[in-house]
Amino acid sequence: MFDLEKAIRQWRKTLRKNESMEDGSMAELESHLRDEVENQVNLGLPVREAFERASQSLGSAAGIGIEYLKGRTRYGFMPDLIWNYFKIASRRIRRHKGFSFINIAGLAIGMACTIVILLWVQKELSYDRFHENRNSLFRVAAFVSFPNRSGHSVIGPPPLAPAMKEEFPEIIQSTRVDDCPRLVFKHQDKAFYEQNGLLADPSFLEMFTFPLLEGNPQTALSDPFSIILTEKTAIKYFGSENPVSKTLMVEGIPITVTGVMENVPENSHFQFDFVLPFEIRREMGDDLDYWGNSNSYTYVQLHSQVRPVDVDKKIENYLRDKLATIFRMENPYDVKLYLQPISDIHLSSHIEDQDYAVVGDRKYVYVFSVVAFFILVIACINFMNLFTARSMKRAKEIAMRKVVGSKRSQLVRQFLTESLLFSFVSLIVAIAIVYTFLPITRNLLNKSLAMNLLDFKLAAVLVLITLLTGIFAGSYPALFLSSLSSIRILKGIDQRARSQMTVRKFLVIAQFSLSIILIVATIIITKQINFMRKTDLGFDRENVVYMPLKGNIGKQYGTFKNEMLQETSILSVSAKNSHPLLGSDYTTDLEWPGKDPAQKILMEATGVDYDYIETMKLEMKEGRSFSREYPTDAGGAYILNERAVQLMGLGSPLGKEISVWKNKGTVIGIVKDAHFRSLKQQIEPQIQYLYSDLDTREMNESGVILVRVKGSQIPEALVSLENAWERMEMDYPFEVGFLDQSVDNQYRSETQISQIINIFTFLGLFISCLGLFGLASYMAEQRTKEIGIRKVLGASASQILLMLSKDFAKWVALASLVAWPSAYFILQKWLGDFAYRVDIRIPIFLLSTIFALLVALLTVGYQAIKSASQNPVGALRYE
Amino acid sequence: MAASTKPMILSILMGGENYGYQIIQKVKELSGGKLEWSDGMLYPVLHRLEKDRFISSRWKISGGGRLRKYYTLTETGREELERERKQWLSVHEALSKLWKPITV
Repeated sequence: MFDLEKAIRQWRKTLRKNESMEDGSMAELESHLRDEVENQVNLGLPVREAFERASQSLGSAAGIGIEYLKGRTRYGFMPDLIWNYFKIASRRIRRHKGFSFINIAGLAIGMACTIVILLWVQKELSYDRFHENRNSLFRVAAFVSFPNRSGHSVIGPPPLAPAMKEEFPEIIQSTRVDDCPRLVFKHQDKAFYEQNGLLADPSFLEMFTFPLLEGNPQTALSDPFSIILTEKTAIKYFGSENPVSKTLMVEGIPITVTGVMENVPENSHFQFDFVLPFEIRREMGDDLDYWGNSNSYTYVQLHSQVRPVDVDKKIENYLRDKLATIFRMENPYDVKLYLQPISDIHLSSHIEDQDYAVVGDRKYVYVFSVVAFFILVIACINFMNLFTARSMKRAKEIAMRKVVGSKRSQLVRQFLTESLLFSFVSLIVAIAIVYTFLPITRNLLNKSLAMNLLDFKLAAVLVLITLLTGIFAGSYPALFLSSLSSIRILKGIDQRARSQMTVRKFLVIAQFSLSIILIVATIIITKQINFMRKTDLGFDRENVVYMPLKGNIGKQYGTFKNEMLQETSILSVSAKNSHPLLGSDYTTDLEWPGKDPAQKILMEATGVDYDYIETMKLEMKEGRSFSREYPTDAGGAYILNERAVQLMGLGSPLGKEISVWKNKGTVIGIVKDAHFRSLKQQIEPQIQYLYSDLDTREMNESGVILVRVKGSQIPEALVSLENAWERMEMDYPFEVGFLDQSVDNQYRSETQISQIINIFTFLGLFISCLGLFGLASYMAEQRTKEIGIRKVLGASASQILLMLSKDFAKWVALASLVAWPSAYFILQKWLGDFAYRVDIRIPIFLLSTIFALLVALLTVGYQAIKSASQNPVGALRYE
Repeated sequence: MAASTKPMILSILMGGENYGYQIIQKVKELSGGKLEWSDGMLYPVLHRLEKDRFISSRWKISGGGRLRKYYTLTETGREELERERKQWLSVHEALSKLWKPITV
């Protein structure tokens, strides 16, 4: 049965494709068609023939289209031209919804990614700019050279800050700063460990902009036994009452609260919950005038008229000369001082030992900027591709326009209007996407990002990107197509079209190159992280917990240890005078046989209890670990690690006598190297000495008790530990750390990076696929006739599939040629940061390409299958 | 598009409101049943005439539920038609004088 409605629908579709056709005109023509069909039927024709006659007599859409155009060009000089273009552009979007959606979606997602990354970069670059004196505040840094290592450092002697202020008139203020060890705070019934504290001089409040909500900034830090709390800390202990002049117990010592400070903003490299006066360390027994200690950070404020560069020159050798004078040394290690502007601090990841500061990696700022650029480029390429592809379809219409007299500039403007319209719609969608997903990024990046559209700079950048994208995307088809010779198009010669195909091929290949690079990056970064996580560290990190060694527990350590060893759930107990993964004391005050007197090698010296090596399950290479059977071990024995032996150049170290801090002892064992720091760093030379008589020693605040528990009885072990603790320790709340978690934390930033890159790779691929899908649709449509003919000639569906997919496979292969070397180069650099790393091997590249290929084929496949299974007759009929 | 289409359509509309299909049938009739171009090409002409405000249009639904666009001659259209008529007549006069001797 001939379906008239279906035929009319088909006819309508053909008509729609002609963009000169306004909606009203189409309706009128349809009405005419129906009238004519009715007429013919009344004359006795069957419906099918009636329809044939009617549509024939009505004429072809193209012919009618031209007539409409003629009408338009006569009024081409009217002032509402732009509006006309706009009308046509929006009509186009409506009429090709699927295509428009893909185009806009791709660009919007790309823009959204770029915006998020830009917000992050903006944040990273904005640290510490809120201080009023920001242009005159500096941190004193040094370039230090030892024989075995050299690098930048910011840690120095406490007397440096006041001395520099005295000595140099250009320095109008200075302050000492240090971070606080973990302290117990107690007020009435609230007792907690506080980790995030800052020690600073009263001048700190003058130099930096940390406003006080309560209290007097002039006096708040004058008394050593005073403390300033940040808002949230004040609320934590004092609720809603004003804590100023009230007492807070810190480690059992009564301290007066002298101020409440506004919470520290996120973009400050200082992050703290309270401030204690630096002088309190003197009360605790620290010699703050000793130039030999390196345990303070120095910040200075310069006079506003002074150039930092000039001050750099003056202070360069100050510390070196000072140390030489005080210690009467002939060859001090080399120290060159310089000033670091505070806005540089957050991204100064090349400086080690600044754990007190929040430091991001400058490298990642570059990396993510590049990634943002990549994604935007992929999205723009897509956009251009799809836009151009669609424009080719209109080539005939354009040619006719030219014949009829449309000026080239008009066409260019038409295209540009359309692409700009698309671009701005994408921007709006992108902004909506960003608003929706910003809360999620907080978890991912550990930072809150906010988009303030009223920020002129941000808005300007966004508009600029949109304009550039629109102009760039629209200009190519505009200029290219409008310059085509119209006669040739009408005649069907598509020579230029072929060169246009080349450009489009190039764009797809570029897109896939970028995607493949991202895939390779994802694979390698993931591998590196897994490698770091799974590498044998040289000690057993599972099932080990640690607790602070201080207070009463410290005094009763021996009893505590013995009691715990009675429990079946506890396997061994030991202690160390620092956090399990951090060093405690570094010194060059070492002597060993064969040492060159001029040599100064920095080594870590750690005090440990008996059973330390057993608890950590470190491996001994030679000799033995500390043992009660040898009373001389206490104070007279040392254990070295392999690296120390190597640096000392000791041939057979066992039994040799060395001295540390002028204390002589025998080397009784060599322990195998272990990775206590992250695998980014080389293993350092380490010397262990016995930390005996722990019950009676002065406790180092950062000492820990290490407990290895039975894997199957962890909860029981924890309960026993807690009970014993509560019984013996009145002042400090019970808290344990898990060694395996601490190890994982070392890689937190890398893990974050990997998650982020994963997401961006997925997005990049997604955008590429969107583009590919659109492109495949267009190409399939173009070749509808060809496919129809082939099918009629007997080609099977799978053969058609192959034919359509072949091209894309080739393109992905070409993309790989570009992607592989680029990816290799980039990742080689990133991996260079890690002292211990994975290899970049060929299978990774192959895998990436295959993956990209699969994705491409899947995308194209859907379209190919659709075309391949279409009725060839239908394809060949409506031209 | 022949130049005569315009006056033809305007004249047809002198007879009252009419819709596209009917107008075109009438034009075909007057042209001896044949047109040099397809039916559809007349619609752009109507479109143009409407733009020039010589005719106005409105959509009406017929009894059978069919939607059609109806056109009416405007005052300006009437004037234009008069102008065209005068023009054609003067052309006819001129040509008649020229052709008369030949027919003898």
